[in-house]
Formats: sequence, structure tokens, C-alpha cells
Amino acid sequence: MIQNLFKSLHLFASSIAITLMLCGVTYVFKYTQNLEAYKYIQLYKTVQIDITALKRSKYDKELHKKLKSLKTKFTDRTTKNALSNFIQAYSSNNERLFKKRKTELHELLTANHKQLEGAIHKNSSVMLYIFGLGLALSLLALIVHHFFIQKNILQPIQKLTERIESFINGQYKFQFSQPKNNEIGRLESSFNSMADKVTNTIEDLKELDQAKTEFLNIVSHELRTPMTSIKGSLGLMASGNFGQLPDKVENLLHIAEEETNRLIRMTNDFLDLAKIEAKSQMINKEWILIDEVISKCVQALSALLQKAKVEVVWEESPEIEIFADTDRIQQVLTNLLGNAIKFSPVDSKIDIKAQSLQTELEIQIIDKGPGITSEDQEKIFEKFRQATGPTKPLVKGTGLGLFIAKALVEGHGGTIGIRSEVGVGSCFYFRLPDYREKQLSPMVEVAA
Amino acid sequence: MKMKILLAEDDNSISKIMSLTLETMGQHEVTVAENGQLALNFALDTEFDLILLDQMMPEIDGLGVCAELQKKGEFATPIIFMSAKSQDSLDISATGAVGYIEKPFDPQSICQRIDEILISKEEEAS
Repeated sequence: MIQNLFKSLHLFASSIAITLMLCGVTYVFKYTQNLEAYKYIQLYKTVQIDITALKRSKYDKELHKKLKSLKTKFTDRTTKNALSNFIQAYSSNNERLFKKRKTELHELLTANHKQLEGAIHKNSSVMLYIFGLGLALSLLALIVHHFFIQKNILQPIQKLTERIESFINGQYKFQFSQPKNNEIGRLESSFNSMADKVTNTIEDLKELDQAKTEFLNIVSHELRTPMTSIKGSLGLMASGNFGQLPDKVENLLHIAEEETNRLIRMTNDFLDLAKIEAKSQMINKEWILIDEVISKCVQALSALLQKAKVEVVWEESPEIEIFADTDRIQQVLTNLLGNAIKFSPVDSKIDIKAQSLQTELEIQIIDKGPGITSEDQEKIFEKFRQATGPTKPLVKGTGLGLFIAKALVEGHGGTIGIRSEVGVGSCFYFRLPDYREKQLSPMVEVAA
Repeated sequence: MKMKILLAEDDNSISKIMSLTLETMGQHEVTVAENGQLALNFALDTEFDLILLDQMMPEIDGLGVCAELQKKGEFATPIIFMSAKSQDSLDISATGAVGYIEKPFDPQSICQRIDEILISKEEEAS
């Protein structure tokens, strides 16, 4: 239909063009006529001047010749005849006839003169009107054309563009009502179909996500229930409350206990991994004191610390707060600190530092363990990577701790890394971009 | 201190182990309820010193039992939840329970943990 619109517009424009051309042609034609008229007027004037001055008494042969030649220039008979008569009378001896013919000619020429002037005047008026008409028509055509394009093309395109932009910003539900049967209408229909599809896909994804979460919850419960029983049984047997066991049996029990704990850790890690990859958990960020996070973490690992005979030392930074999800950052710290404890030699100290780096806060966990080769440093944050060195960790891990920590830190817009030297120790650090020093007055603080 | 404990847990193995643990390690007296409804009945019927509620149970789940008990108003017996914790930290403050124990748990520490929770509750109250 827009094609038809264009066709009709073309027709309209063409007719305007033709009208203008006709106006132009008429204009030129009239102008030419006027030119002709002016020429004749000149002629009449010339003759009039000549004959006025003429007196039969003074016969001028030259003038006679001139008049004869002038005669040929006139096309209308009346004037020609009058001039012929006059020339005849001039060369005759009849004074009275001469005077008569002279007056006749003079009057005729004057009449012609006046007539031509009138025609010229009329022509000029016509030309002016035609010019005005042409101008008005062009203006009208321009205005109509403008409105047509505005309403049928520009406006719909603008509306469509606006809708697409809000679509990009998340407004998927809008539908154009009753798209017309033209090119714009087809665009609108397509948009409707696309919006439909996107909305459906989103709904499907949400459902899928929910299903995943449910699955995770079920698996978690189902795996943990028997593990509870096994751990419980083993623990009771090992507790000695039911009698002293032979050494070999005790050893076997310990092995079973260790491996059960490992299974439990693995399950936790896998579930964490699945959660991260499902992206179904929302990150709940809030302003939390870094000191609180560190102290909770150290407390949680106190049993492991005791077993390893390692101490944690950290400088308090009571003013520093980070904008982060408590559980997740806690987990990052737990994973890193846990690693440090596992690899630290007996009676050594682990340092935890929080250092401000202008745009970021760097939290470091420094241990005096065996260190990590630069080769391994590149790979340790990958999935299922474990220490390859000769030193065995205190407790076997799953190889997921660092990978999970990395994912969690990056989920907060931060970075994680390691600085280590073999034989000296390792410094695991992570940086978070959203932090502040609490000294600022509440009104100045802006939530990140 | 010796306590009369109501244990609401549907899994047989766990309830056996927990009872054994609590009886041998803590010298407590344990009554087991196999589902939420039974737990509710026991709780309303008898006076206990502590109620341990498993979250996932048939009939009525842990939260449901807790809510029902709170309804009767002024329910003095402390309640501790046990959870397999896949959903992040069960928000127990709203439920009226005094604490929770994560599964899998270590029997060595379960008695200690219970004591810890009860002591901190007392400290809070005083």
C-alpha cells in the first residue's frame, strides 16, 4: 500500500510539474507576444514622428524611399493601405488629399498603438496570475506531500523505533494492535511475532531454571541424608563410648571417617558449582564490615586450625565496608583460608590483610606453605585442579574450591589472583570494586 | 544437663543414630516422632526440654510444626531445626526457633552444638 501511496504522490507531483511547465510556456509565449507588440509600437512611433514633420511642400526623396520600405514591415492590411495611400498622397500634388491621408494614417497608427498597449497590459496581468498560481500549487503540493510522508512513513517508523528500544530495555510484552496491510504493517506484525517468541522463551527459561533449582534441592537432601547416617555411625563407633576398639579397626574407622568427610565436602562443592552455573541464585549485595566477614570465617574454620596447629593473624580495619553478598564472600574467604591452612606447616602463621587500592579493595591471605610453581599458578583456578607438588595437603580437596571462589569473586565484578614463590609461601588475593570507608557521613555515601 | 528431647525425623537411620548419640554422649532421654503430625501430637501432649525438628518430613514439615506450636502461644520449649541446607541459610529468626543444625552433622559435636545454641538463647534472654 505504501507503493500505491508513492505512485499517487508521483502522479500528483507530475501534474504539478506539468502545470508549472504550462505556466512557464504561457509565460514565455506571452512575453514573446509582448516583445512583438513592443516592436510594432516602436515602428508606429517612428512613422508618426516622420509623418508629423512632413510637409508636402518640402519633398524628401529619401523619406519617400524610407516610407516605402517601412510599408513592407507592416503585416496588417489596413495599416498597409493607409500607408500606401499616404505615400501616394505625398508624391501627388494634392495638398488637401495629403493632409487627409496624413490625418488618417496618424489616427490609425495611434489606434493601433493604443490597442497594442492594452494587449501588453493584459498579457502582463495574465503572466502575473499564472506565476502566482504556479507558486501556490507548488506550495500546496509540498505541504500535502510532507503530511503524507510524516503520517504514513515517518511517524510509524518512529513509533516502531521507540518500541524496539524499550524492547531492548526489557519490555517484551508490547504488541502492536491491528497492523495495517502495508509495509509498515508487516514490520509491526513481525515485531509482534518476535515479542511473542521472546516472551515465551523467557517463560521457558524461567521454568527450566526453577526445575533446576528444585532438582538441586532434592539431590542435596537425598545425598545428605544417608551421609548423615554414615557419618553419625562412624562417629559413634570412633567415639569409644561403646568400648575400646582394636587398633586396626580404629584405623579402618578413621579411614572411613576421612573419606566420608571428603564425600560430604565434594557434595557441597558440586552443589555450589551447580548453583553458580545455574545462575539461579540471586546475589544479595549489602554493605558489610570486612572485619566481620573475616572473623566469622576464622571462627568457622577454628576446628581445622586447631587440628593443623596453625594460627591466623589479621589487622583489623574497622572502617572498611564492602558491598557484597555476605554468604558468597564468606565462602570465598573460607575456600582461600581453608587452602592456606591445609598447606601451612605446623606452628606457622597465616596473615589476612585488607588493603585499599584506590578503586578496589584487595584482601590477601598469606601463608608460609610450600608455594606454587608459576606453571601451576596459571592453572590452579581451573576446575578440578589440585596441588601437584610433593607436599600433600592436610586434608584432601575436591579441586573445586578455587574455581568456585573465582566465579564468586568475578560475580561481584572483582578479580582473583595469586602471588607465590616456591619455598617461601603463597599470597592468594582477591579484589572487590565496591568498598568504602565508613568515616564518610551517611549522606555522602552512594550505594554502588 | 540431662534433657527430655523430642526428635522429629522421618529417616530411620538418622533417628537411630541421633537417639544413640544423644543418649550416650549427652545422657538425654529421646522420644522419636516419625512425621510432622506425630511430632505435633507428642509436643502438645508431653512437656519436653528441647524439640529437634527435621525440616523435610511427611504430613507436616518442620516449619509447619513450628508454626503450629507457636500458634498456641507462649510455647516455651526451645526448638532447633535440622536442615540439609541447600537453600541458603534458613531464616530461623522469623520462625521462633532458637537455632539450627546442619546436616550432615558430626555426632561428637552435636551435643556440644545443642548446648551452645541453648546457652546463647539464655544469654540473649537475660
